[in-house]
Amino acid sequence: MKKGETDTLCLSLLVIGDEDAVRLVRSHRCIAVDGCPNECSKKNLELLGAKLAASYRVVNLLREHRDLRPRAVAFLDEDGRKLAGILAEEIGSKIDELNGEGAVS
Amino acid sequence: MSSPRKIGVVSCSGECCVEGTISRIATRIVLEELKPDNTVTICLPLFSIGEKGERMFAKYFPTIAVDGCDKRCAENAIEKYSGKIACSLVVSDLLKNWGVKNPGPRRELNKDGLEAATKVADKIAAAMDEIFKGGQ
Repeated sequence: MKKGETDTLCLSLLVIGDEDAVRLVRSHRCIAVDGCPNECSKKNLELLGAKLAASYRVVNLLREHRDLRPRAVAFLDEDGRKLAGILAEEIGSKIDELNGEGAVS
Repeated sequence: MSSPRKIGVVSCSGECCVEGTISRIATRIVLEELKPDNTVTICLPLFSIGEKGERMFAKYFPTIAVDGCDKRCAENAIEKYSGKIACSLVVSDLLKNWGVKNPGPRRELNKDGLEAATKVADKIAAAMDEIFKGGQ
């Protein structure tokens, strides 16, 4: 969807303080995508002084789409895939919005 | 009647490589199918940000780290905050040993990737048996 405009980073690398990973999040705008309300991604990015541009919580998405009830964890079922697609669209729109602001780093 | 003995399994949460995906799926297979009564999964990011329950569990129960790559985030985090792990598995090493060259994209494993995840799950279950045999 946003190949070439985005990159993903291991949260584990950030939390163990990997220097390259920390440098990356401090020098590029980041979007945190958290599964649960503990918001580990967002909190870690804030702690590390990253450029946090937006954050998402999958639990919120579940509340907004109560008709979709993913059951499986390891392998997503149809509802899980639909939710993943909805979230991907939202993140994609956010990236367009961010790039439209002209604050590219 | 005593409750079943528990072992913590800490999987890589990596998004950087397909081995991270294999780590997570293998851990779920152990939790859901192979050793449902003996497995407790520990969320690595939650553990790393200092959640007390996760850290206490890893301190008092044997723990297996399932890392995607040789950066070994899970092993390092556990040993830093909760003490020595009982067993360490690195999926990239296992795939090399098994000659798995193309397990598929990170988002969805292909047939080879799924087979590899099943084999990693078997390794985790075997490691659990060894730990129980050793009386930990």
